[in-house]
Amino acid sequence: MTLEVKNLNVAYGEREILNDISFKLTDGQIIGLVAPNGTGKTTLFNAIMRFIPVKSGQIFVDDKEYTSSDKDILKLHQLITFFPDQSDLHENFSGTEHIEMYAEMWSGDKGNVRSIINQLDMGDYVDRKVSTYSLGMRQRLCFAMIIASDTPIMFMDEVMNSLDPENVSLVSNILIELRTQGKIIIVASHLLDNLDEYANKVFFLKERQVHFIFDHEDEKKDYFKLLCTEQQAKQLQETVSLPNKTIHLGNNILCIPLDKLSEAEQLGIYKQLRHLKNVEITVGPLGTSEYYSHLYGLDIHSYDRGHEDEAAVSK
Amino acid sequence: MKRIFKWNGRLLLRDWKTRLILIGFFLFLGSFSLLYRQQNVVLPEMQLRSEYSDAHNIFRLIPDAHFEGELGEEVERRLGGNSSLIGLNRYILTQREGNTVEGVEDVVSNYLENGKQMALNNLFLLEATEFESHDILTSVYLPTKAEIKQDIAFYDALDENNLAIEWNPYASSEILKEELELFISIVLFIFIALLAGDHFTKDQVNHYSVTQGLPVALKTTWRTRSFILWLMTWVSAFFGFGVSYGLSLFFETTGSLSYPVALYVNQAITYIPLWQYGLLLFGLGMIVSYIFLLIITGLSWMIQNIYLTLFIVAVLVFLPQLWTVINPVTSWQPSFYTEIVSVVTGESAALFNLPGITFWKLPIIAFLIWLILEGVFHLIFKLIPTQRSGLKRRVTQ
Repeated sequence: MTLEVKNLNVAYGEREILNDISFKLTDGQIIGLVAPNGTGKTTLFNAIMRFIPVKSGQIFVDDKEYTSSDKDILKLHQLITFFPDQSDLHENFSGTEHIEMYAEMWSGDKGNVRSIINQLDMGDYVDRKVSTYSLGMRQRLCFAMIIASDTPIMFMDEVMNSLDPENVSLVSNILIELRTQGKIIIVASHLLDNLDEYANKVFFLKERQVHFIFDHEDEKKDYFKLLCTEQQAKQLQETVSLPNKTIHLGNNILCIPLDKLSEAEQLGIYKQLRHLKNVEITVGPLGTSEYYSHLYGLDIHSYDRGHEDEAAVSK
Repeated sequence: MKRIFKWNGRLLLRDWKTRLILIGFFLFLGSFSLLYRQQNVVLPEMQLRSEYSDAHNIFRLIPDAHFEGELGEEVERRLGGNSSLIGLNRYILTQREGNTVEGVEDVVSNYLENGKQMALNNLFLLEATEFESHDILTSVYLPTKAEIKQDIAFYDALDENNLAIEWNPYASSEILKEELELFISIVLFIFIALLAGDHFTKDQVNHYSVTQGLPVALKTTWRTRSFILWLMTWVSAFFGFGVSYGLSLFFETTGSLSYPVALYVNQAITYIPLWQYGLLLFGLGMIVSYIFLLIITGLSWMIQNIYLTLFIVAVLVFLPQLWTVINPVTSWQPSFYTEIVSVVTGESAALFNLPGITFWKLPIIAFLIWLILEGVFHLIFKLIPTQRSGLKRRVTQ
C-alpha cells in the first residue's frame, strides 16, 4: 500500500494554508507531523480526506488517483480513518458501542473489539456512558476506535493529548505494533521526544510547505548538547573555537557537532565546561525537539526561566 | 445497509430530544379521545333544532299571498313537510335507538327515509323557480343542489350498509375520524419538523470528527435517517391512535368503522366507509410526511440552524394559502397537496376553484418531487459544510 500526495494546495479565500505539498509513503511507516499550532497540520489531514476544499493537487493510494468525486471520496474513506476529537464523542453511548460502531462501519466485523479493549486496558470503564469519562479515558477510546476501523492508512491528530506517561507509552507501543502490520500512520503530535520513539520520519511543516524531513533511518551525527544560559554560551564561545555547524537553539541549548572534532578538541571543550556552573551536557544525535527548536526558533528548554531569580532570592 | 440502519437508528433513539418528542407525540395522540370529550361539540340533535327553527321562520318571511295557487300550495306543503320531518328526526335522535324508535315506527318513520324525503322536497323547492319568493328560499333556507345530492348519497350509503345515523359525536369512530383529520393536517408536520430539524446539524456541530469520515455516502445517511424518523413517527402515531381508540371504546359508544365519510373524486362527492377513509388519510400522510422528512433532514445538513429549518417547513406547509391571493394555474401545483384533508374532502377544489385537485394526484406529484429532491440533494451533498455554516465546492479551482 502507498499513499502519495502530489502538489497539494489549500487556501481559505485569499489566505494560503498549504502550498505544493508532495510526499509518498509506503506501508509499514509511521510519520510524525510537526509544526506549531495553526500551521496546517490538521488542514493537511482534512485536505487529504477531502473534508475541506482543495485548491489543487492529487491524492493517490496504491497509485490510483482519488479525485473529489463522491465515488472516490467514499472509497478513500474506506481506506483512511481520521482520529476523532474526544469532544465529538456521543455522550450517551458507551465506549464499547463507539468501538463497535467503527469496527462495523469499516470492517463489518466486531470480533476484535474485546481484544482492543483489553490491549488498551479499558475494561474497567468502557461499558459505561462516555459522559462519565475523564479526558484520558476519552482519548484512549478515540484511539481504540481508530484501531477497530482497521484501515490500512490512519491519520492521528494530537493522539497523545490528555494521556498520562503510562498511557503515552501504551499507545506508542501499539503504534509500533500497527506499523509491523503494514499500516501507514501519520501522527501529528507535540510530544516531540515521544515521536522519536516510534516515527520513521518526521515532517516539519513551515511556511506552508514540508520544510524539512527528519529521517530516523539516515545516518546520525553525534553532538554535545549543552543546556546553559545565554551568558554561559557566550563565555564558552569566547574561550573555545566551536565548529561552524554549531547550533544555538533558543539561546539555551548549544549543539556542538562532534564529527569534525578530534578527541583532543572534544576534551578541550569538556574541560572548559567544567569551569561553568550548572551546565548540563548530554551526548547524542539531534532529536525532533532540537530540530523543532532550530526550525521554529523557539525557547522550548527555557533554562533561564525563573532560575536566576530563585538564585538571587536564596542568596 | 443493515449496519447503517442499526447505528443511525441507535443514534437517533439515544437522543433525548427524539425520545421526548416521540413520547410527547404518543401521549398527545393516545390521550386525544379523553381531551376530545372535554370539547363542546354541536350534537346532531342540536343541529336539527336549528334547522327546525329555520323551517319555521321561512313561513314568516314569505308573504301568505305567495302560497296561493297550485305551485304556492305545493311549496307550502313541501316546506311544512320538511318542518314535520325535521321534528320527527329530532325525536329519533333524542331517543338514541337508531334510525327509528321502537313501538312508534309507524308514527316517526325512519330517519333515513325522512332525510331522503327532505332532500327530495328541497330539490323540488330548488327547481320551483316560478315561485314568487324563490329568492328568499334559496338565500336563507335551501342548500345548494350539490349539497342536497350529497345528503341523498349519504343516506343511501347508510342504507346500503344497514347503518344507523350517529347520534353521538363522541362515539369512538367519530373521535377517530376527528383525530385522524387533525393529525394529518398540521400536527404531523409540526411533529416531524421538530423531530428531524437538527439531526444532521447535531452531527456537524457536536460529533463532526466522529461521523464525518464514516465510509457511508451522505445520500445514504440522508435517506436512512429520513426513513428511520418516518418509521418512528408512524409507529408512535399508530400506538397513539390505538390507545386513544381503546380508551374511547371504554368510555363511549363504539360507533361504526363503516360509517360513511365524504370523499371527493372525479369532481363529485362519494361516500366511503370510515376505515377506508382512515387508510387513505394514513397512506397519503405517509407519502407526504416522507417527502417532508427528506426535505427537513436535508435542510438540517445544509442550514445547521433548527429555527431556520422550522421556518422553511412552516412556509412550505402554509404555501397553499398563497393561492387564495394569487390565481393558481393548475391542479398539479404540489403545494395544494400538503393540505391532505382538504384535498380528500374536496374543500381545496372548491376553495381554489380547481375541480382537478383530487387525492389520486398526490402520489404522482410526490413521486416527481422525490425525483427532484434526489437530484437537488445529489448536488448539495457534493458540497462541503464549512464551520461558518456555508457550503463550499469540494474543489476550489
